Amino acid sequence: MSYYKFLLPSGLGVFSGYDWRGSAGFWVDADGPVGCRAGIHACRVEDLPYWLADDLWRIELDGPVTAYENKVVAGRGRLGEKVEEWTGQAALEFSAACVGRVAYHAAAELRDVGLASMAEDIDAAVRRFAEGGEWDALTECAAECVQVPVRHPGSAANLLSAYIGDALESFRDDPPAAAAYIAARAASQRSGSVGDDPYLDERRWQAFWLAGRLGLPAPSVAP
Amino acid sequence: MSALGLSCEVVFDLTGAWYDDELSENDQNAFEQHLLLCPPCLAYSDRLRRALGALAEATTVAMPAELVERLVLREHSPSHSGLDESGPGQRRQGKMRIIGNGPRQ
Repeated sequence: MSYYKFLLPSGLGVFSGYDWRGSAGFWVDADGPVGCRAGIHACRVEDLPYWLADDLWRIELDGPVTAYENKVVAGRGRLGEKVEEWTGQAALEFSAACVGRVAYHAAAELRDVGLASMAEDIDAAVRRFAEGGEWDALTECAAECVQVPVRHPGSAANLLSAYIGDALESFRDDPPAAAAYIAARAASQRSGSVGDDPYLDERRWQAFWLAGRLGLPAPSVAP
Repeated sequence: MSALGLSCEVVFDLTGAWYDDELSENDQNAFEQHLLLCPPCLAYSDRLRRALGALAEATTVAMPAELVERLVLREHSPSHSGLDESGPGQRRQGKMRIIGNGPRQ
């Protein structure tokens, strides 16, 4: 099993502030009893979308590795190599992909209520965004879809169209974790039958995207 | 479904409990994932963690030598009952623990 750890560019742990600088190749022991809130925290590939930060490292774990819903914890860890593919550009591409996913969910919801032409407008605008970063058309298109009268009770067409604007703002202003979260929330707001847990499915989609882009092993569960 | 829908106000209120490892696993996940998408909250939690960490490094506060000397003299005074004047249960140890858990790694 391959494990990964996000760190700040300074080499510090994102939450703990633990200084990992210079420790690559050396075992680091957890201080005190190991539990979900103590010990060496790491990610499986499928956990990566939840913990996106600046730098990504491979890490080897030793001793019992306890698996939690979104992370693993062990008593010892040894940083390996930095995942050089996780760059600012890769993070930007990931955020853009998440914007595209929000648009995908919004367009699907619009189609469900018979607004196919608006869905096509969204599709076309998101293609232009993906190809050249042009987001004005997507912003305007989404704003129109927010206003369109939807007569189907329970439809999330207006809401998800608004999420496109949120995702675009996050793409511009926020860390990649934000756009990823918005995409997962958009999936979870779908009104139709789109799986048992659309939020988790979207997170799996993101994990597959990251694995493919970064050259990591595929996550164990397909989206 | 994630319980990630925490507002910055809630995160602000929970930061102390987070530092002290008092959040449930779910709440801790939601808290930390909020930090990743909210740089101001991450910066705030980082400042608080560093401040509390500095306090934790000084987990013992030595009494001033003069005070220790006075207490020792009192302890050996024939009139001393063995209890602090503030009453039972109010006696202080010579060293005081201030902060509990250290940081996670």
